[in-house]
Amino acid sequence: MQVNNIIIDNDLTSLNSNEYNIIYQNKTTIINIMGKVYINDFSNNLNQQNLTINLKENSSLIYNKYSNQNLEDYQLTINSSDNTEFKLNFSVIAKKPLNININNLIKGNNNASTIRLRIIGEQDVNAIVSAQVLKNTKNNTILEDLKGLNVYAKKIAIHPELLIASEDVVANHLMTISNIDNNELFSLMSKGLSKTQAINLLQKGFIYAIQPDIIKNK
Amino acid sequence: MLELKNLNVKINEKSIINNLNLKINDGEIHVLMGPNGAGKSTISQAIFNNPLYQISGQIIFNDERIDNLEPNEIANKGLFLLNQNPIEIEGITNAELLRTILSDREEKTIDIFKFNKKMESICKNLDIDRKFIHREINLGMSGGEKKKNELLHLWMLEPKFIILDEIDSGLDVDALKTVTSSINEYYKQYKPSILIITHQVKLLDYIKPDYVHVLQNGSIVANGDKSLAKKIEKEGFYQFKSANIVSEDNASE
Ligand SMILES: Nc1ncnc2c1ncn2[C@@H]1O[C@H](COP(=O)(O)OP(=O)(O)OP(=O)(O)O)[C@@H](O)[C@H]1O
Ligand SMILES: [Mg+2]
Repeated sequence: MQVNNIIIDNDLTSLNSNEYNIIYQNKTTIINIMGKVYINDFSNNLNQQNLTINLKENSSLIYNKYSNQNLEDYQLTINSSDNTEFKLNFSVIAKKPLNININNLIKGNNNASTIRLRIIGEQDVNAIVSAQVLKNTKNNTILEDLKGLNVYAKKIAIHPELLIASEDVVANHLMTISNIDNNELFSLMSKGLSKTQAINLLQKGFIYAIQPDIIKNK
Repeated sequence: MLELKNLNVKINEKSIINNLNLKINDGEIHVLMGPNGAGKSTISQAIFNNPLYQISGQIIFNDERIDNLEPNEIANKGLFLLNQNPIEIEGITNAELLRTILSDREEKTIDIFKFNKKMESICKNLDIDRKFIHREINLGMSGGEKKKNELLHLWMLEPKFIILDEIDSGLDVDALKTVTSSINEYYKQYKPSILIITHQVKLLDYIKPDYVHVLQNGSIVANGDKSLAKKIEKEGFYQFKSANIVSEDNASE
């Protein structure tokens, strides 16, 4: 199976190929995934993003998203059919008050999805991550790994929601909102980093831990 | 030279170290032994002013008090602590950490080529893959690998005063040889002072100490040389129990 690397950047308005099809109109994007696709999205100057991803049968998508600027409103809907694999790695430093709404809708059988979220809030953040598995579906797995790091004394709220109507599902979620770890901070400082530098590195580490090099090096 | 003068350390109001005095001259190798919970690691944390610990008394390094400095200021005076349990830090690589510290210290961007060359040769000497350079700090490493990884930091940072808190724990026979010969090599090149905390007298077959101290219940109860360590190996720490009581009696008189 062919591997496609799609990079959505700021200038991208539309992109087509035999394997996948992206429509990116103003602020709304629908992506139909066929085959095995990677998306690395560091579109930073959007303040609103509304995305629907349709995973066609036997397709897989790894979607890495990083944002550290203007984002205020992020809406993502994932529709999975049968035999799909979906991974979202979403890291965001909220410079503006931010709403995140992720809706993972599983309509068929044998789908595996992993949603990883890393949030640092310089402003308040409210994130809803919901997974919905329809009735009479089989053998689906869902993992949500959602973490917030509280450095700026802002409000970070993360709400995982599971709406499961099927009996044949494995669903796990893991949600933590933590402060800078004092042992880690001391350990870095005792090597010679100032407190500010150490906190900066820890934030970077937190946000990039789930991202591939292509995004780290951006 | 490092001097601890009437050092008292508390954790959450619980007294761990009591009126401890210790002097380590330049280029000397000291060994601190003592039963579990005696307070050995606490001393090492106190020297680095870990905010978890409440410290009174004086810690003097090269004629300057360092007990009120920040941990990074202490490190930048040339002290290095190799922790008993090296902390794992996700998302920050060795290279990133060391580059940041060194470029800050030298107030310029460092020569990446030289930096990488040096890292590679250290990895080779420590018998670890050069991939360690870009691994996240201690993350997912085995116990022995963590100790070596910390030694990688040590070689890059070139400290003058080194605390090795149980560097030998969790090392297999080959790793123990590699690690101790690395420390001996460092000693030969830089002549630092070293404070070794250990339970294993065997370590002292590899690294030759000038002095051995025994810590019990937060106080030093015996001083000597390597033969003291041998005696402990044979007879255990129990023999010092009474000595400790005597010194407490003296203090209350
Ligand atoms: N963070 C902490 N909170 C509470 N108690 C602590 C803390 N750190 C150390 N202590 C206590 O202080 C005492 C001394 O601990 P320390 O780790 O210094 O001992 P040690 O001599 O290094 O022992 P070991 O040989 O087992 O490493 C112990 O009773 C320990 O339980
Ligand atoms: Mg200890």
